[in-house]
Amino acid sequence: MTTISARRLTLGYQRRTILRDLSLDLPEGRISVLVGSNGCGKSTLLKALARLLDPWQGQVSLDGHDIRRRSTRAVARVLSLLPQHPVAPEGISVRQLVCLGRHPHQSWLSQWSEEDERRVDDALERTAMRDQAQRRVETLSGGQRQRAWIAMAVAQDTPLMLLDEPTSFLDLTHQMEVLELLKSLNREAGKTIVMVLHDLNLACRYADHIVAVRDGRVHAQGAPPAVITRERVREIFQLECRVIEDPFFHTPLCIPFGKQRDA
Amino acid sequence: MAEVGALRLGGFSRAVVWRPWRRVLIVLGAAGLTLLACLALGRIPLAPGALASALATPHSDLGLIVWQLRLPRTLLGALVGGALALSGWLLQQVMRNPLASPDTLGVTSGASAAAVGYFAFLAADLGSRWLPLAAASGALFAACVVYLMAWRRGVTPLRLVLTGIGLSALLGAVTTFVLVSSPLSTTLSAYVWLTGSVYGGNWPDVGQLALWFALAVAVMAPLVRFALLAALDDALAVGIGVRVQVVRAALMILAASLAGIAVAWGGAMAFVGLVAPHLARRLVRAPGAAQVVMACVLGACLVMLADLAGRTLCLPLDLPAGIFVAAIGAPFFLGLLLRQAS
Repeated sequence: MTTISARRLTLGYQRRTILRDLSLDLPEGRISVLVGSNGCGKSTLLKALARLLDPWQGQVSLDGHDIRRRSTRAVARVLSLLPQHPVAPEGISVRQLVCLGRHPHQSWLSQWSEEDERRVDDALERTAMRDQAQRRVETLSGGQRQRAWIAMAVAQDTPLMLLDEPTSFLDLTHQMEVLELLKSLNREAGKTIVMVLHDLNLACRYADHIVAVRDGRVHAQGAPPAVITRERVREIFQLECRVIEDPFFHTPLCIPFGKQRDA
Repeated sequence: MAEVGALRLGGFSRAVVWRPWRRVLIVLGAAGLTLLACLALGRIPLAPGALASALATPHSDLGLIVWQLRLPRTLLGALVGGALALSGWLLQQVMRNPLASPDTLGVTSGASAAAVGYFAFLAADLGSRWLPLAAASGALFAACVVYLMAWRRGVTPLRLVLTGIGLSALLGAVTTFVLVSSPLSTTLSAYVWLTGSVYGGNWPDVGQLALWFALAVAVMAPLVRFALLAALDDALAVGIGVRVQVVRAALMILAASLAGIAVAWGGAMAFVGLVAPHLARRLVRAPGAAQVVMACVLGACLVMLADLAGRTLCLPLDLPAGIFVAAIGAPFFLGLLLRQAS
């Protein structure tokens, strides 16, 4: 297994600081969800964890070692990443796309081993993309396309998966489908999943561990009932709400109020 | 899954998608026929029987025409076209932009400026022997300048393309300046070179170009899989363990070298590097080795046909192939785009 953590991370873009002295340990084998208002730094944090951004200070550690001291290929064998708006090369088929996920396991000599083939078939199977395997990615619907990208990450066969808003631009049905798929990957294949989600209630439903980010710092973290309370939501999102228990799933259910009305 | 086969032998393994190779074989056949047509047609047209006997007797009069004039010239055109097509394919992958080509990246204009400068200032003393070297160094130099100017803690495809266009304009101005301020004879030979021509191609030329071409292909073969990954956006590529900046720099050097050696012997033959990879992509949808080979063969065909047109259509004039590259390529290209749009 692999653990990922941030140690006193400070970084930003150009001169603007986004994350300030942020430390975070993410539980192994669990689903962690980063939440926070727009611009709070949660996507930046995910990018830093995925080594897409170099920290100004501090470090991201993989199993206790600085992630930048390991080759990017070695990291790619334990950590897969689905960015927010992935773009597929023109003309590529779903199967070819999923095959790309095998890259960190391949060498000049071995570019299509039996292991590669098995993992690709398995990834297509798990994401229910087998029947779509020969279609070109640009012809897929939004939900199918997202499943294809997840299949690519699954084929990469890493204990750790990072996803930046995997449900954005999907309708509710397909959001649920993607989250159910990720949950099954966590429960059945034991993958540690770290993702950014916008929908607080879906985050509560699927997360084992919620990390609330505010102003580039970890504001609160823990199990959903501990983090998502009326006071905390007000602090994190500057939003009035009531939090009740979801009658079916028994996770916190946040009912947002406008600024004007009160109940 | 039947369409994807696997080649495995011990630790060696490759995935092979068989279907597109059928089309590659067909186009290779067409290239063979084009080559034969180039050998048969000219000021003295040869019937198939006469061509065969000329090929069989290299020292007869007709044999000399075919072996010493037409064949090296045609092969030179084929190599120039193939190299330009490979360069264009690589650049379109790396830039993730279908409009990228050796022309947009400043490579061709670098070669042109160097070549025109050579004609104007050095050719009188040195002859044309060192022209290929001057053109190739101009190409590589321009590519380096573009790369360095686009650098800002790494290079992005967009910055590369924009910088390339800017530098091309600047070098174009330099070329024009040298041309208009030179004597007429210099201007004429420089202008033919700028149009792109394989006139007077001989066996030593073919040998040298073939050597460089083979070298570039040998370097390129193991890099093709990285060229495929270069089309992914940076976050995805890093995610699967690609060292994006290293790959981008290596592929750019390779593309600039391929274009450099092509223009060194064939002149600034515009358009091949843009159109051949596009046609290849229409004929072979899936990015991969078959697409690369297709682009190369199509580029070779295009220049061979253009040279054939140049030396047969306006007899007794022998026009530079570069004129006809666009004349043949552009309508075909536009036709394909129109057909696809409807």
